[in-house]
Amino acid sequence: MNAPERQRFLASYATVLTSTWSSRRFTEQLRRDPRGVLATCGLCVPDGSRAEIIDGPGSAGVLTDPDAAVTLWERGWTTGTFVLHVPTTPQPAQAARWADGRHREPLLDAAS
Amino acid sequence: MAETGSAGPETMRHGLSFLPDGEPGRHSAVDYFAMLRRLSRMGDEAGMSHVKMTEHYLLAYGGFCPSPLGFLASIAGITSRIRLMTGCLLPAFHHPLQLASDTAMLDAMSGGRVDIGVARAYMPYEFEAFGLSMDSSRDRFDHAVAAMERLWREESVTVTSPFFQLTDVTSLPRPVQPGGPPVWVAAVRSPESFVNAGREGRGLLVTPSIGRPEQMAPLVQSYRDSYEPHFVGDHPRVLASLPLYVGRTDQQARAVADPLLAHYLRVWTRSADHWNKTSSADYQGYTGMGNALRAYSPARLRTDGGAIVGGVDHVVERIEQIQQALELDGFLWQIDFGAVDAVTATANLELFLDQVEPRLHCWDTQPAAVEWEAAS
Repeated sequence: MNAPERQRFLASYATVLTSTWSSRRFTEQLRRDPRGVLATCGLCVPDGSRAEIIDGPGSAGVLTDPDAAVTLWERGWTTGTFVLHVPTTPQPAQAARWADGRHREPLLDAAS
Repeated sequence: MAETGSAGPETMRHGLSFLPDGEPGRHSAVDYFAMLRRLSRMGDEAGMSHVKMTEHYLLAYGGFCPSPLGFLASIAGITSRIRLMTGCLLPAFHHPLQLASDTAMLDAMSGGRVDIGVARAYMPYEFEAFGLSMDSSRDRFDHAVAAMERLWREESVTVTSPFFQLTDVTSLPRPVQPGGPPVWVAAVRSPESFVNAGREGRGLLVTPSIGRPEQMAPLVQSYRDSYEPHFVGDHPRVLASLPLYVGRTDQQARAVADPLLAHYLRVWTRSADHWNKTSSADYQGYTGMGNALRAYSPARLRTDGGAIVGGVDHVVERIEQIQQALELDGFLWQIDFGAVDAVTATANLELFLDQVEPRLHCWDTQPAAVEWEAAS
């Protein structure tokens, strides 16, 4: 990835992560249709390839190293499987809903 | 000689400001500090001005970092030019000899890159845990900071204070920076704190998170009006710390930042709740702080300007508005709020450095700055 591609990738990855931690609905849709949901966040998987979402013991560790996350995603160009680690816990407060009515999964709403 | 912490008023600086809000059992302190080392290295390589770290205890609000000097020592070893700032040390909880010697040691280890931000502390449960009265916090703060500065500047220091006694003491090591590291004072809402910071010739750290930043302008002006230089070329200097998230678009930025801001507000409120049934003569206006914070949402925080969240154009516009309102010398960007992960924080900082910060450099060539240079 060149610098702009890397910025786009990390920003999109951040959207996936935070949406996962703040919306159960998003998480469920991501599991059902990773390719489609990732596209709504700006992560497009090429035709003929697949997207794999991993929520495993090592997932939180991947998030501590953005360079590793970039490398892992780039491997998709040779393996045909684009991998993203998306732990559902223990990151920010899913329960913290500040009911101002303005934050309601805007990206997902826009895509649906 | 080491660069001092006081650049001229024509120089707009951008640094990093850290305040952990991870919760034990849910977030990893190991991962958090690994992330901060990475972000600090990025800031250093990009020419950012400061990395600043807070001191807090016991609860999620800052509790992962009871020792900013310990943290900054680790950053000193992996960086070469970024300045290392406490933000803030809480002198009320330390003996001044410990403050003077520990800070001078960090100054030596880092080759004179240290700035010392100090604050009175304001969380009631921290005072309670240390067995200290909040009502004496201002006196305790004033005595400790004054003694720390004397210990940097003088040898064979003798001080008699209601809070400590020093007799013929010379602190080691001696600071690398002449006269000791620059001292900055955090002021939030007490007018007296702004005026005192000016009278003592110290830098000013503001955190305009609650209320519109522009409302703080008269207080910042009172600091400038009361400023008394302590050496030739000295001048008022003001840095602001604010949560920042830069996204690809306004919508994407809000989608990422709002849950993080919600976490940050929740953790802060939980600590500030200790003010709901506390009052102190030294903290006018603090009682009920937890309840007041409950009126804030992520949306209100970013709408009021207490946090800057948006795409590149929006962020540039908002930074310029705040800078013009407060005539700041720089910003220290809080990019670790919300117990954020390293991927998200890195995305934020990379976008800021690549697309926001270059557009702010044009301030250096504004007519006002040119006139100032010509007159000096």
